[in-house]
Amino acid sequence: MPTITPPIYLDYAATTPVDPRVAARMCEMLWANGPHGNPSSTHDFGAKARSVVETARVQVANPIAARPENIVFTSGATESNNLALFGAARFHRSKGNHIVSSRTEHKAVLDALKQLEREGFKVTYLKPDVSGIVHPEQVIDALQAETILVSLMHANNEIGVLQDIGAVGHACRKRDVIFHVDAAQSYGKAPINVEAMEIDLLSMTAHKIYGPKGIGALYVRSKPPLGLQSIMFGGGQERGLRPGTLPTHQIVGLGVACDLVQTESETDTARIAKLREQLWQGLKAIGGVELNGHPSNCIAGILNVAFHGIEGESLQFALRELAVSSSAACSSGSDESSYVLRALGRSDQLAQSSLRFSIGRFTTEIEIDYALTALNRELPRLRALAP
Amino acid sequence: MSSGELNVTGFNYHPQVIELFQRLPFAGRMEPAADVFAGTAGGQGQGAEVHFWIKCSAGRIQAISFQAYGCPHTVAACAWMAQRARGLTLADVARTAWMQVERALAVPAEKRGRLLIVEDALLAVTKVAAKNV
Repeated sequence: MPTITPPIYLDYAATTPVDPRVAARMCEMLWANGPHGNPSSTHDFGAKARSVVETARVQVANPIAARPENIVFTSGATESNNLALFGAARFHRSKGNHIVSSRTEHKAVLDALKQLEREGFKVTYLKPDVSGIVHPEQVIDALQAETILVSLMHANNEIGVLQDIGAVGHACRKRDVIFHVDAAQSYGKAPINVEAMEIDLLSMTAHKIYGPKGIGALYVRSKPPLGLQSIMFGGGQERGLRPGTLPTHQIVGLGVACDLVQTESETDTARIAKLREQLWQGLKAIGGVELNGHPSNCIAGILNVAFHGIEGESLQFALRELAVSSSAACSSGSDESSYVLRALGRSDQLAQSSLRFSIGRFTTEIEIDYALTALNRELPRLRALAP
Repeated sequence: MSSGELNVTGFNYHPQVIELFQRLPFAGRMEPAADVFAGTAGGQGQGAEVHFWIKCSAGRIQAISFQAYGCPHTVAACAWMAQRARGLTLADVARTAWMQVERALAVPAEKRGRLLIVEDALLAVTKVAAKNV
């Protein structure tokens, strides 16, 4: 019987451990006899490094049916989102100054949009329904003659809800509006086809798919050319969109991680969905819980639950042997309740008494059993304490 | 952070907070009786709601219990105050101030509002008892 050493990691939506196969390949890149050259150099060392970088580009492009030449390496989803939003908005400013997005986007999008507002752009923030879904008709209704850009996340990082990206993409393409998708939580976990879904820009990151932190990518449509203004200036790497020496080992790690999600996604997803269901059924049996989000239209790994009758901080403290995220954790240091849950209509109190459990490749059934034992012990104890 | 303290939710928790939150001494309601009095303060919407019950005899607290909705510091403060109040006179308990529990449990300054709710609930129950004994 395998032993369990708490805390149990149930925070895969925050970040994932690096898959040992990814780490092994990355280490090879760092050895003295590895491809340590600068990928931009013309000598043999540079060519070797360039070759592994280009292999990785193919590996990143494949799971989303993109052309490798449309992949730009960045430092992660935050940078990809920034490049997409600032790059597209500033380049196309002469066409219009209106952007459509939603209230439940990640801060990496919302804060970039706030900056664009300071620069004179107007942003419409769509309100999702109670399950977190932004309906394509809402997007269509919000489009104006001045609209140049729509930015919508595929899977929400707090509640896991999936948006109908294909329908929104189609509506945007028809109206010649650029469509950006933040796919940090969905890349490799939900089907994406940038051509079929008519996506112009797509952000992803390695550390949500068992790759290293500090590397990600932006898909940029090239046919017809999109028009994107760089936000960084330097040596002209990545078609001038992301200058700077390419971090070979990071890029190779990202590539292997993408390769693994493509080959293992189906089995991973089925197993993770089963574990999520085991956890949800166990929580329902304890009672006094409510699902935040949509019961089926979501990625497999995220389960966000509101706990009635228990104060949020005490809940998190009592369950400290489980590494989960409280709703406030995304804006760490703040005891403000989650803006995502409040956008869904949850009260401040219930939003604060919500926890996000996120399950991943290395989560086991035994760990879920352990988590349920802790929940079975602590929830009734805390509820009995409340007046 | 000093030895034995925990930081789980962004706050530091003194070892005594951890122990009291875990053990919950004096937690629970008291059945109504002629010598049992209740006092409450706060509300769940305020982030803390505290109920105290005391059983009095000759102006002295024979038994005390509480129920609380709040953070670990609030819960531990209730338990600490209950522990301290048992056996004291109502007049002594009425002099209990939130600063004492703040010091004893190293409660962060951001939690002062919640300590005031605990103090208010304890004062409320002593007032009701003082009127009736």
